[in-house]
Amino acid sequence: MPSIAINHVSKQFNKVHALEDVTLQFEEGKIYGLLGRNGAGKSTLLNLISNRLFPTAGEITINGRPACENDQAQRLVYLMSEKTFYPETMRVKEVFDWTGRFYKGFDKNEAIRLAHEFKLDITKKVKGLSTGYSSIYKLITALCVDVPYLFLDEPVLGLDANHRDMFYKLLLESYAARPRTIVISTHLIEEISGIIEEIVIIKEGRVIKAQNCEELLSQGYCVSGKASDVDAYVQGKEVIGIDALGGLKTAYVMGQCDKSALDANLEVSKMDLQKLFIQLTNS
Amino acid sequence: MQLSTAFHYQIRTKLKVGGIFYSIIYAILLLPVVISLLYGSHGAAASGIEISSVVFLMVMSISTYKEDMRMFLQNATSRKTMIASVGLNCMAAALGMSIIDLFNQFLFGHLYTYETMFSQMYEFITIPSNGALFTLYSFLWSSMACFCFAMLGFFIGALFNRLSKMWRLLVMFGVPIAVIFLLPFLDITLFDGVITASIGRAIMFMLGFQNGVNPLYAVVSFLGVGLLLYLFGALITRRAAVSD
Repeated sequence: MPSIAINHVSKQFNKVHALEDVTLQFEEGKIYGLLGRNGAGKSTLLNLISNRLFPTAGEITINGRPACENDQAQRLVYLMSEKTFYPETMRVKEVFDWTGRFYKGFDKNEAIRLAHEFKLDITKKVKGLSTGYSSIYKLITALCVDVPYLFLDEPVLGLDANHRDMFYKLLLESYAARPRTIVISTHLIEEISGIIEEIVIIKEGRVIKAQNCEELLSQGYCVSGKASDVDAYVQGKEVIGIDALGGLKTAYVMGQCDKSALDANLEVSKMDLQKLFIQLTNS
Repeated sequence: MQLSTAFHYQIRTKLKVGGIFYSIIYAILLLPVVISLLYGSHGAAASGIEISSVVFLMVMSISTYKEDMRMFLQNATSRKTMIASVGLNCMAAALGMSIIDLFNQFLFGHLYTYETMFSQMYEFITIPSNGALFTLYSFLWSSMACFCFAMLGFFIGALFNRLSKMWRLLVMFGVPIAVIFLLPFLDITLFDGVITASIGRAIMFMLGFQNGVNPLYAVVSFLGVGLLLYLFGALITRRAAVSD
């Protein structure tokens, strides 16, 4: 099956171990959330896949081809990153033109249409754009590139709520029209939790979770109510976190819900992805 | 193919900046003509203008290195392809600029005294200075000099991309101080100037001034040194990450 395979990859910067023995697979046609705290190694992983960095150990393949220094393999991948890699004196329309020349399937008409929707002036130079519009032109470019693997590193940085909402809608429309692998790396977990199918969580350079989002969330639940009732219920259970406010408590419990032991005053709800992430990555 | 697109991208950049460069050059070259028209001929002359082409290509190579690498890595183009594109590009630009310099020499040589650096350096060459062979030698000399310095720019760009800020400053100031002051001082003090004399003789040989006057030595030397610098630049680039 076509995929991006990351095999025992490590990356060290001087004495800093940014990634340690990461083994992972990004399968075709799925939307992944790549989550991790600041400095966890998410951007490093994406930079390794897209040939911007070299691994210290291990191997990355794209549809069976080595990713490193391989134009053919890299043409299957597009990384939209936080850093601007386009020349600052280049105008947005020139970015579209040149991307179209490097990536043959780039839809320039669609890019211009999206620029109009976002009210992006394509005659402006890259250096003249605000933080938000700097993300927007990169997003538009990414959405219009015809590649089977699309990586979005902090795609909504600097975007207002309206533009973020537009982006998520466009992303899903793009995915529906042309299913492909999309990997979104972001800190806005609540916003993407409704979009992603698969989740990868990196903590201190290591992958601690790599599974289906629904499966992960179904491995636990939240129980809320009076503090004393919650404390009584969670006795002997694997509690990964507690939120307390006054006399009320919410406990995040791993495992299946024990309905027989559940007090009528207690409320059970689905595990929240952001809460689960916080609990899993808190040291 | 990525190499073709990369080549076009880099050539486009050179053409864009080259346009500005040549408007300045032609403004300088036309100035004596304008002055002659306004105030009558006062024996205007120009010499060695083509050295600016050499400097231009060197500076362009240094200044576009990081920007080109970022653009290529953003667009599925490997460092290997970038290295190949740089080599082809610089050779194409060197040949192109030398043709323009030749044209300028022909055109402005009819309007006032116009001497190239080649004709000044090799004035004692034993072939007619208005002949086809002289023109060919001049073109080859000029184009290989341009290529050599373009590759020097590529090497410097690659080196600076890999060095930390502290090392960059050290190289920027340390190398000129070492070459211009330290080396001659140590040479004269400790070795009676033997090293400097040897370097001088080597340069004279490479430029074709030992054993008569032969500019083909310089053509081969520029090409050889250029290829060596290209190789060093390529070796540094092949595992380079983009520095901030």
